[in-house]
Amino acid sequence: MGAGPAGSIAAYEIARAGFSVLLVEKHPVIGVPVCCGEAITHEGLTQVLPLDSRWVACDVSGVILVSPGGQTVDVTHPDAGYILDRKTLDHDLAQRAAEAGATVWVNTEAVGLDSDNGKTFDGVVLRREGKVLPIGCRIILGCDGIESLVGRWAGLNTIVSPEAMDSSAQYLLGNLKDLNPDKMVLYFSSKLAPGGYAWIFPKSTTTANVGLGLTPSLADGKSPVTRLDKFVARHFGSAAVLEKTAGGIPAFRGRKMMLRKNVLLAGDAARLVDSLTGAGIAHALLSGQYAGHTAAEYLREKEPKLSILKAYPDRFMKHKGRELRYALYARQIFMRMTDRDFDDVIGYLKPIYDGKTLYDVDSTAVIKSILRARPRLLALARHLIW
Amino acid sequence: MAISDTQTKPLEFDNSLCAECGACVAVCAFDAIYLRGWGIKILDDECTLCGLCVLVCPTTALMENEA
Repeated sequence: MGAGPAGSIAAYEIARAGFSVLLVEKHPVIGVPVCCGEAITHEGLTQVLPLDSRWVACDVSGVILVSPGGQTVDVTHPDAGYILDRKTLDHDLAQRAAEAGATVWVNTEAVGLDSDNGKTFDGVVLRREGKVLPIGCRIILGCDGIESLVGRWAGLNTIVSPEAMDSSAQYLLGNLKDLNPDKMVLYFSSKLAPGGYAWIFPKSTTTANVGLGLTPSLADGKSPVTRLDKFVARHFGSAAVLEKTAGGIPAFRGRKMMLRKNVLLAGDAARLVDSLTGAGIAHALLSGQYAGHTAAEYLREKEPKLSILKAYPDRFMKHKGRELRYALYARQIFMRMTDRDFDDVIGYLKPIYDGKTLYDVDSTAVIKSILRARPRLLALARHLIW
Repeated sequence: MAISDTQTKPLEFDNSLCAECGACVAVCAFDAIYLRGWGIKILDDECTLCGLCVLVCPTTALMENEA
């Protein structure tokens, strides 16, 4: 359910293993709307897929961090990553699933799950072309993003609390002058983007995704779009707004959002997101792949045991659990930092990283070094809320 | 009952601002809100007016009626 990166990769893996799979997408066009900053690291993409230049809008080679007071840290990392064209990526991944044998239905919405025996789910109920269609199946993959209704219908508490959400607005801006097409820019400020940050992700020499995410419980009534409008007016007065989009980004909830009975959740639906940066595409790709593999193993058995499916969260958590847990912890601190804290941290990072070229960045290690240098920040995480 | 833009409704919804992001759906503990077409549908019988959907909406498509 859901033909985003997670769903399409999972469908591809299941079809490739020789099983009959239906990939369902409620929108009439796969890949639209793009509720995404479209940024991914080189590793995040290529750990699952061979790189295809069709998906790449811009090859970025570093990042510039900007403090509330305007101090900058400009770091070059030649293989940093890409700003993608999600429309093309999502389209291609669904096409790939279809070529492997998956049936793809767009404009088709899931409205519920069926369970005859009460032990496993044996069907989904779809709405397609005005008709309600019950479809029998042996396994269900919920890849329906932030809404995560499949998971909710399966009995998981997929509800996101406002502290665990990053509410974001983004514009694709065109006609940009003086845009640096090589670097992502991140603006930290508890006044501008409380519990989040503003970003410029270049997509060409004159276009960029410019967005702002924040934690709603800290927003003081001023919406992301209101703040983004002011930010854009200040920095990009003559820009053309070519696209307007928005997104809700959930914080990580551990392995418990990944599996219930014979329902597997992947990507944003399973809340597999870096809770500090909001990065989720790579985790959607990887979890979709693991979910597809594990589903195929289950389908291979004539009388499958549900315990086979535990390999899915096991595999993914072994690979990414530590990184995602640490990002969640870092978010707790990040959410409570003041402008003075941001100025201080950027001031700490500047002499170490400004103007430097790095080839290997372990973001967890960088965060740890910040906390070692500024141990009073650890006190901000004293009361973990969830 | 569908949401309408009358003054007596406690929640206002402006379809032209909705980006279909789904944050409102994710945050609703009462299964009272869904994305439908290009916009949202609120189930008045389930909605408790807790206001979390308004809080998380990035675009102010969902607002509380000040009246």
